[in-house]
Amino acid sequence: MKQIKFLFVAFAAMMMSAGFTACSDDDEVQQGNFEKYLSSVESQVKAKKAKSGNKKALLLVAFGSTWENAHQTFKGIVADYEGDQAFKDYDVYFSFTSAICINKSREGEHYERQDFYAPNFWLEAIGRQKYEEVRVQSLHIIPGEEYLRLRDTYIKDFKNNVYGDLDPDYLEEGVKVFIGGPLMAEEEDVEATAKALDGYFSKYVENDNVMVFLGHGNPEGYNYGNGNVRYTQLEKQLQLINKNYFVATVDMEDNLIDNLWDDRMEGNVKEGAVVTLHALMCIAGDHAHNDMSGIENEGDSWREFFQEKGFTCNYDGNDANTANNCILKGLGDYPNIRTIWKKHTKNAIEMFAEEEE
Amino acid sequence: MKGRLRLWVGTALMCLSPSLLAQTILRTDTIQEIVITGTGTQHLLKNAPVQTEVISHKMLAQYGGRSLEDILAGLTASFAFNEDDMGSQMQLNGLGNNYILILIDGKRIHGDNGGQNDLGLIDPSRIERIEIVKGAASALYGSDAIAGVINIITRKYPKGWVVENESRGGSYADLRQHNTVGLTLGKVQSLTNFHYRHTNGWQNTGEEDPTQIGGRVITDSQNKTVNKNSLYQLSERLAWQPMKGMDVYADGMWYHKRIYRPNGKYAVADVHGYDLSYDDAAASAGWSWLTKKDYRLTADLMWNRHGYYYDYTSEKGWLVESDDPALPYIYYNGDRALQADQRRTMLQLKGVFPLAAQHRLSVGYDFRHDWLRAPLRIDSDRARDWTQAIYAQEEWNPLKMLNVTAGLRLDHNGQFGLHLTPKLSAMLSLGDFRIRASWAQGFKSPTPKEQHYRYVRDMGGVRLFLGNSDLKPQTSNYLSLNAEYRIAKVNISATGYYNKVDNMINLVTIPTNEAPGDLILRYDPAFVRQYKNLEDAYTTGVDVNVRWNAGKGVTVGGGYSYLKARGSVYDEKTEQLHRLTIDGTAHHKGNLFATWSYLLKGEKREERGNRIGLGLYGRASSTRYYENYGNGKAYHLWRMTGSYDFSRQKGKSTTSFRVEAGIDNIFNYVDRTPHGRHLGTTTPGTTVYAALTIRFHQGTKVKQQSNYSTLKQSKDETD
Repeated sequence: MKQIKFLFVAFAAMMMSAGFTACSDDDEVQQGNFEKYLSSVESQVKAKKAKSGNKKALLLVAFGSTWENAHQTFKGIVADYEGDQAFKDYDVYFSFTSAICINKSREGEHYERQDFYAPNFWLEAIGRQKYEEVRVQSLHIIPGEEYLRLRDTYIKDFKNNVYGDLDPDYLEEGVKVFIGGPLMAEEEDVEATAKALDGYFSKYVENDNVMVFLGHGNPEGYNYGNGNVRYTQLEKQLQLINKNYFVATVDMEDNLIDNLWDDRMEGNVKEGAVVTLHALMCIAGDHAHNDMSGIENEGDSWREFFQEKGFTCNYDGNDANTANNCILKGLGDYPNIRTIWKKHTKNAIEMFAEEEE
Repeated sequence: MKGRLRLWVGTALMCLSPSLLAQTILRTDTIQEIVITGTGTQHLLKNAPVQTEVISHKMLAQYGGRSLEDILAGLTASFAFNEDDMGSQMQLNGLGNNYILILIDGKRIHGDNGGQNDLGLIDPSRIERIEIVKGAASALYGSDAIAGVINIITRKYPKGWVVENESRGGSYADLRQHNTVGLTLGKVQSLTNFHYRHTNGWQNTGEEDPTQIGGRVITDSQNKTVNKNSLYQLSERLAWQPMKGMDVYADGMWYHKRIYRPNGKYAVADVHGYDLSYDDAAASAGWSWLTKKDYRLTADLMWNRHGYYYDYTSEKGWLVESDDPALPYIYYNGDRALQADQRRTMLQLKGVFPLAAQHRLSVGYDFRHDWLRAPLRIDSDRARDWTQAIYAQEEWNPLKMLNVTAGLRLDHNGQFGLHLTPKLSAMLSLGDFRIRASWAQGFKSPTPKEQHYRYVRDMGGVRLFLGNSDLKPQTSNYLSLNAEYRIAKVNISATGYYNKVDNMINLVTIPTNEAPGDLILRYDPAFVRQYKNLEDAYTTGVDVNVRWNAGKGVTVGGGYSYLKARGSVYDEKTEQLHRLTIDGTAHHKGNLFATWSYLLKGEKREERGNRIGLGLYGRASSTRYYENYGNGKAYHLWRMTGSYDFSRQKGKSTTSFRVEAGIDNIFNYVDRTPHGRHLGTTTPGTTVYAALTIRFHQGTKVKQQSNYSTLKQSKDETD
């Protein structure tokens, strides 16, 4: 009998020990890690504020990228803001929302190692340093899901003291929060954008050649703010200037490359024309490299799509080669486009302002 | 007790008396091998009604494989591997691990990573023999064994005291430890095993595939061909014989494996930020009873857990988004995050009833509950699935020369309802000829992972892998015809087969905009792959095995496998079926072996019974085909091993020693295809190993777990 007892006690002990291994102290670890992570953001903000003595903070927000030319574009945008007299009283900060881009940039993917942080960390650090004004500028193209998340989640979380350690009086009375809309925030921005683009690219639509812009777009079910309509509006505005401009996207329903061809291009463009491709995004990142030029993951790119349709559309990966028809630049590289973003920053809307009686 | 053990060990080591037990170290000829897998009942291999291939203990011992992958790749022509961080990428006649049921003593192993079982769970030193039954030919083990069943039969230890240690070392810090302590206390036996395995891994090339890293040229990548990894396994088994013919057991297992991934200087290619690890546990209990009427009844209850973790190595913090943007997960070096916790509970009831001289009926009931928790990888945090099945199998000998085995299995899946799969095998014995034919249907419902998983790979562009809740179950029809000729010293076997799989589930690249919008927005993936039902797929081929006992201890043999494996995917662009070769398959594969075993007839008494063994092995494969990232190159590899067995006995105490050494890949073949593209083989070039086994035994030999014993049991044996 003792032997039976021993056998089953041993068995039960083994079952229990296996169960205990599943337990963990994840929450505690995460709390500690959050503080550690935040402290590196906070030390940067503290140092910058101490040096400049500024009371206003400006936070630029992009999805993020790891490509070298994208990093150059971001640097150009930040330098443009820092050099602009209109923002001389502001400490300028720059943020990625994509965790993967943050991690990969930190490890130096495609470019030298750089530390980026998500907007919630910057805003928390800015709040701890009690800046009197926080101006957040979206570097997105359309008022889509990314922009709405910035406005309705990150900024509201800050105002609502999501981590519970900002001074309530400061949040209530001590800080004004502004948000600057994306490139084509309003319909009137579409015309300005179209004019700016034509200013740079009109030579690509001469002689009935074609220029196609590759936008991102919000996928089906995520077009809350009807931001996708800006792509349609932009194409319309561009075509008022030249009918050989087109705008399509990688994710917007009914405005993918196939839709563009079937609905708008087939029969309406010169056979064998030269097709120039350009990303309609702040930077030339993954989509410009994959979906547009096909330098990565060959076989499914817009460049190959147009080649198959008989157009001239080449790209050899060397951006210095003038025979290439894919322009690996972001809209943030063009001063006249940056001017539109900066206009939104200057005219930013104050959030949480008390209504005047 | 400890004092007595030390005394016995000491006595045995000092004793120089000759051995009579040395011959138990290397077993008798394979032709007398008893197999169990095809029907769940014991048969001599030559008379097994369901075609069964066996890798015998003798072959295993002489080959000295470092892992199950090494053994199956080296000693059969039907298996292919392409070991990576996610598993061994095993294929059996063209079908992947998803379709291969791996059993240890008749119980299916648990836990997978992308459909790959972790074969590290199997300690090579514990393998007595391996039985392979191809196609979903058996009603007993679940109809999801569409490619086949690999049954690992573990070694049984004699009654009394056994203490065993095997230590092995080789190139690239290839280390292995196997320790066993077995003891008998009255009617209770205890068996404790510890298994440790390690390799530093190796790098065949520092060059990365530029097409996967944005056209960059990297020639000094730190990525290894096989990463450094270590595993530890501890298991305990307690068995009790309350009465003659009855066995009761309980066992448990704990397992940990860590795969170390490099952090080089190119984030696009060789910075990983985290290692991978598995924490597994298992417990089971069972009962078997051989009644006086020769009925065998068994009941087994099993519980398994497979935990899959990331162990972070980033010093600056690694950010992982959660559903709440304000609260992302942050991980530093030393933190770990659960990726998947799979748990399974199984109940198996089985009875074998010899009804008359020509009839034997097996009936059983299986229940399996699968549970998956993957907070970062499935929408609903956790998923579950259950399947129950009843089966019956009749072995009938209408004529002395004819055996017909018919089985029916009725599966009832919680989501997909009832499904009946018939199995039929027949064997005709004409003198030294055996002709076997079989037809079997298979059925495999989608796994919780295939239905619900979402996984983001952020290396070389973000890639999203998605489950699919609209998946249909996979079904198969397997037909095979085997002819076997055995005379005293020669055995030739040829098998032709056709395995058609309908609704085969595979990862297929889909347009990014077809992925769920929230995932597109969060990860902005470069491309998306999703589990889809292919229109159909089939594998067809011929396997030939030859073996010749040339006398004087020399055995020569080999295998050849011809395979054609094709699938069809519906291409929505062209609105046509697109035919493709199943990834990783090669048309031609083969293996050869020549072994020599010599029993010393020394002048001195103590030298008698000592044995020398030599082995020469070759294996080859033609080009392995893949849809993306290039084909794997053809290769041939050669291996040579040597062993020396000797033992000392005094009274009931025996101490046996085995010394082994070998050289693998003699001609130093290395595939240096850039990392990221497919390899024919991951071998690092020439490697060497040496091993020493010491076993002390006190007591007489008895069977354990008799329903899977390799020892002949006259009551349950047809021959």
